[in-house]
Amino acid sequence: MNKKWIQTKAFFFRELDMRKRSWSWQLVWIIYDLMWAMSVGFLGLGAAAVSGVEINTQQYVLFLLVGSFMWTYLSSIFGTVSWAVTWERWEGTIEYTFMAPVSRTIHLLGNSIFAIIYGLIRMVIVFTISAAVFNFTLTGANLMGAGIVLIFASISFIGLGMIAAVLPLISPEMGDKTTLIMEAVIMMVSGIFYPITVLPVWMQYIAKISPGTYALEGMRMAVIDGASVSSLSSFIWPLIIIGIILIPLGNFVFILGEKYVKQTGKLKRDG
Amino acid sequence: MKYAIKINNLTKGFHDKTNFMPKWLVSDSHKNKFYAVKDVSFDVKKREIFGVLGPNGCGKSTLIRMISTLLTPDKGSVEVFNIDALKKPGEIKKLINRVSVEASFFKRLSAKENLLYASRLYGIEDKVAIKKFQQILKDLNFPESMVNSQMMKFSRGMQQKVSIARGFITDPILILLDEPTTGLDPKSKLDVQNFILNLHAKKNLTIVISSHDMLEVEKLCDRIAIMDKGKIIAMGTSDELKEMVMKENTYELETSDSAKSKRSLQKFKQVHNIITHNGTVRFCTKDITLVADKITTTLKEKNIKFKNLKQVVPSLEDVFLEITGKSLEDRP
Repeated sequence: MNKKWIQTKAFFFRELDMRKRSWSWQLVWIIYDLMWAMSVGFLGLGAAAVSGVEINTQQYVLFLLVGSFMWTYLSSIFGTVSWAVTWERWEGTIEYTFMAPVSRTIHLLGNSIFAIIYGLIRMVIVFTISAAVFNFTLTGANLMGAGIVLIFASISFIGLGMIAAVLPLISPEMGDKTTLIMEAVIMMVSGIFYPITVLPVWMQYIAKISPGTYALEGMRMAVIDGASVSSLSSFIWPLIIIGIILIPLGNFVFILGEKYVKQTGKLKRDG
Repeated sequence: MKYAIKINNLTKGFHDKTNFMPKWLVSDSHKNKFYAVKDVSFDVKKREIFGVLGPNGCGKSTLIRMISTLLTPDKGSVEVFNIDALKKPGEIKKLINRVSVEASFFKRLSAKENLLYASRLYGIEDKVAIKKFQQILKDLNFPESMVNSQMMKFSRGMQQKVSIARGFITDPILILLDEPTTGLDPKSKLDVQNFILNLHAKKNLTIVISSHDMLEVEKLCDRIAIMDKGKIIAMGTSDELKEMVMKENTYELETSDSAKSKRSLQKFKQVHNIITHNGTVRFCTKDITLVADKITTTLKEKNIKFKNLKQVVPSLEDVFLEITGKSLEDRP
């Protein structure tokens, strides 16, 4: 078997084994994701009653739920890629991983493949149950368009995760906390539950460079409006460009981070 | 190629973490830099077992981290099998492995899962890896039935045995053992030491062991470097090092009160290098008649019970004491 493939497998199966060994926690996260998505769905159902204004409730619920599903998926990817380093920091295994003759690209690729599959499984579970509860179907959706948006959104979020992964690498004390803040900021500016036009103007500038914005808007157009692939191109192209920038940038930043910790001695368990 | 490792003027310092002032605000003369390793040079021959002996905090682990490419030196060079560790770390990583004092693992995963992860990182196929680690664990007297148990359920000794298996599973030709037996019970310690010696006898393997256990270093190593405060202060075979203190005779006695005995012996100007350990007192003197007469008389006068006063071969502890003026155990 190809050596590089075996090395990629190392990271994939490490993540898988850790999830299997903490299966009860995985159940907790899925239940949490589900409750979160359903609460958001019910928020949509109650919007007319709360505001006293008649709205297209079904449309609004779907708007919210698509945002919720996408965020379940994208935050799972971001979290899996960025937290892999935090986990290694906690366990003290990072020195052994960094001592092995394995490139950072392979390291991050193995983590990313797992992140995509794991995120998809979580999203499909949440989607299936929510669809049954809120009684909606994807009959009018352009699933191929949604799939294309999902693929390019995944690449961009892997890039973001790689950049975030460097934080716990260079600062064992503050890195994981900063990663969470980074995730929260992306969530806020990307318009999970609202169009980004409601944001203050300065936040809209940040929204324009967030891949989450294009992923969410593109997904909504594909799923709710059934938009064709060509009309989704205004969301797909930015995702491709952001991905092309973020993946090599993430890899580069991670390698710089590795050099820094080897220089300062921060790779050691106690920092 | 005669040498496995060539180290030249290796230096590594760390900034004082208690200094919270931004670096740009602090002048160069006030930047507190603590040197963990300073101007260290030595060679390790191929197939040699080379020991680095020194107290905790003397720079042994920093030295091993620099050889294993985990730490970038401030100054100096490290060559492993003629490959520059700074320029081509990737080439060196294929040839070496390391076992550290902290048996760091994914504690929720089993020994098997951890070992498969480690071997996959080196591109080793699972079936080959399983065969290898089963043999290594068997040689280390690790119970086969525990291989699927989570690491967090293992004792320190068992974790360290898995750690040693992780180090050897990749068939390194240079293995760096950073205090591999620290904290192990005597049985596990013996298992590990025997495993190292057996493997070294069978394979084309160069070993570097750091330790503060002089008996272990003496038992395992062909040559020994004694390290203190980041520097190598003596180097040679065990016999060569002991010759440094052979100019005096070393004596040992068993006593009921080693502290009181030590105080009494300190009063004799001709007595040096007094070490107390587990009810024994060791000391050096040139004056044989002093031992026979005055010392025994003094101890008797002070009602200190003692027995088995005898001349002994000096140990590496005596060497360390002779060179540094302090015992290995006196150090932090």
